[in-house]
Amino acid sequence: MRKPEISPSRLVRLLWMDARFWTRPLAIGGAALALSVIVLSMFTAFHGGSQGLHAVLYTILMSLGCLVFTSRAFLELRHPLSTQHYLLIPASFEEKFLARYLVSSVGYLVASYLFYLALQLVCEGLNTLVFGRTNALFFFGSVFHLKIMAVYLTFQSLFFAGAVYFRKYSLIKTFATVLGLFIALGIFGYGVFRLFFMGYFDGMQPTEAVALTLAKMAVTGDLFVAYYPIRMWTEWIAQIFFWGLTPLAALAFAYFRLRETEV
Amino acid sequence: MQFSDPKAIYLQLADAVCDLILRGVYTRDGKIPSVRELAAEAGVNPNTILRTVSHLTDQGILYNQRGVGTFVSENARETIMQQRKKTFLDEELTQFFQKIELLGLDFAELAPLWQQWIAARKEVRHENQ
Amino acid sequence: MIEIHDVNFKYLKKPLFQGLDLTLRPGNLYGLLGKNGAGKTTLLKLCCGLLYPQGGTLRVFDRVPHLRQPAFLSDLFLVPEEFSLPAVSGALYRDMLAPLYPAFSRQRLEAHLAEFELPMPDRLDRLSHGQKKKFLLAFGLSTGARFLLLDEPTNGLDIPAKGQFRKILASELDADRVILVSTHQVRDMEHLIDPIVILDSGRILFSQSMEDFSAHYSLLHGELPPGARVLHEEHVLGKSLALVEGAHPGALPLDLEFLFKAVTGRPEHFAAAAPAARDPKEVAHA
Repeated sequence: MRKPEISPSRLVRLLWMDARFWTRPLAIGGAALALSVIVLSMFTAFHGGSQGLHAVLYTILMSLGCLVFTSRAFLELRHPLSTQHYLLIPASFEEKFLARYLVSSVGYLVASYLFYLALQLVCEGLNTLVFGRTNALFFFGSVFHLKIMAVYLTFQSLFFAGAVYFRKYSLIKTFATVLGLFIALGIFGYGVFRLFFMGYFDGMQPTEAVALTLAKMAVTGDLFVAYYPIRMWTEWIAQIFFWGLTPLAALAFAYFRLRETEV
Repeated sequence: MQFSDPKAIYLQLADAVCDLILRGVYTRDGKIPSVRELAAEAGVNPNTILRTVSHLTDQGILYNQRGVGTFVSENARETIMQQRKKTFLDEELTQFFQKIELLGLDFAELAPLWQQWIAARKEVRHENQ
Repeated sequence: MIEIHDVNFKYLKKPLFQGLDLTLRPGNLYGLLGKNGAGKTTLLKLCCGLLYPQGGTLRVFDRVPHLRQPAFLSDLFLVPEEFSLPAVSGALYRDMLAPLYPAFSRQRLEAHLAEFELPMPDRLDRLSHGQKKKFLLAFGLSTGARFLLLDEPTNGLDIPAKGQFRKILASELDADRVILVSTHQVRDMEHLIDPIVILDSGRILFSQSMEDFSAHYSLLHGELPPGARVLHEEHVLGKSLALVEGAHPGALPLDLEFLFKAVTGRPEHFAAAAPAARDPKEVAHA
């Protein structure tokens, strides 16, 4: 083993290199996006204006766009020749990893927000001039938004791991893998539950008596009182798993995978 | 540079350096290019050039001034000429005699050819002047 | 110094190197020769840390390649046989990567590009294969890295460029550098690469300088001395050209192609006779 090596100046250099490489595709993508958002906003403004248009559009841009972008974070690894070049750039794994992670997570969030902020101002400026009507602007700020961002960063970490692991079609493959994992986890959870409360089940269904009792309790409201501690516990466990372990595991996985890449 | 000679490469390179000294490209007490520069010019391994230079230094044709470079010795021309005469008399002339014998020529037949050659050389020199 | 000791490596189930030993010393321009599939590119990749050895030790200037530390990577440059360059200008490529190589010299890059008669390219990805190669060779040789690995550098170079490349390479060797050139094009590299390392089905058959080799073997044309032990013989227009044991007068300078055929034709003889690596030779700083 060796100790991690991170030099701020090399990290900045890597970020700058990535920015230079991505300038062209991002400019083209951004222009296409700007055009479609302007058209859409004019369309809704013409029909009376919308409260939620920009919030929805930004959410789509942020979530979908970032997942696509994140999945392409290690585009070099697609091809052995570019992998070779990337691995031999004189910087440590930690720096390479961190540079790509920062760009695809926080970097993208901040940049996409600033981009959208400017874009919606342009759109509504135009709408005011043309129709005298506007759509509601979207500003980032509430706790709810922060929570969405956090959820989103958790998912992003999974796609980041996917970008390192899958050399081609990483977006689709990661999506399928995450979906598969959720289904598998659901089935596993159900199986454990079924084993634990063996006596209360008849095949895969609860027995008639149990079902009846549960239905009664639900009607009287006792169900929620009786099971409140269990619900609390499961929520805690789920939250620890989701917030804490998922991104940690995904990022650690991506890091070690990158370290082990051979060509 | 061509290396069709049966001589080792470093010796062929030494001959080339000697030629340059005889032609006055590298002058007495003048500095010759560095190993690196010579290697780059000839496109050969610098270690071979190093061997050439140390060979010529051993012969007293070049001398080394630590930290300054390699220079042409004062009597480099004479040393080279002496060496070449010796090589000619010891090796090339023997081969020449062997050929005469092999072809069944009479040495006396060659004397007029030699006279002719000298005359032709003089004429050429005359024209050039 | 590059030290490879008892290194094992296999691709999936196919073993390639078993107990590979090789030492490369500074101040030398090594030529790595071998047939297709002998493991030349794999050896280069192991030295760069692109592949991990599965056993044994590998040290490049006292560093472990597969840790891929920045100080290791900035002291090494690989010009692969096949590679792709990003869609940026030559100047931008230089500005992006050069600061990561502390010993990079802009003057040398410009001198090498001028020698290759290649103006600073506008778009690297649009160059022809040969031009890309010229650019990467020029850049790599300007990084000041102490360990240069060139995989088939003359492949794709046009006729003038081969001579230009010889000049550039000869000018770049200095006392603390190791240059390792893997090649099939022995004629392009004749009299430039020396010592020679010959790799054959995962084994080092030969690793010595031509000078040392000439002290023990001679290439003779025509009549052979009586009792000479012939290792390899070819007939050219009725005359014999033979590699014999021992130093004999009138020996011809060794031809790399002939040496290669002789060594790979008698693998057991040479593998057993491979002498210990000699002391480093120093190139004078002048």
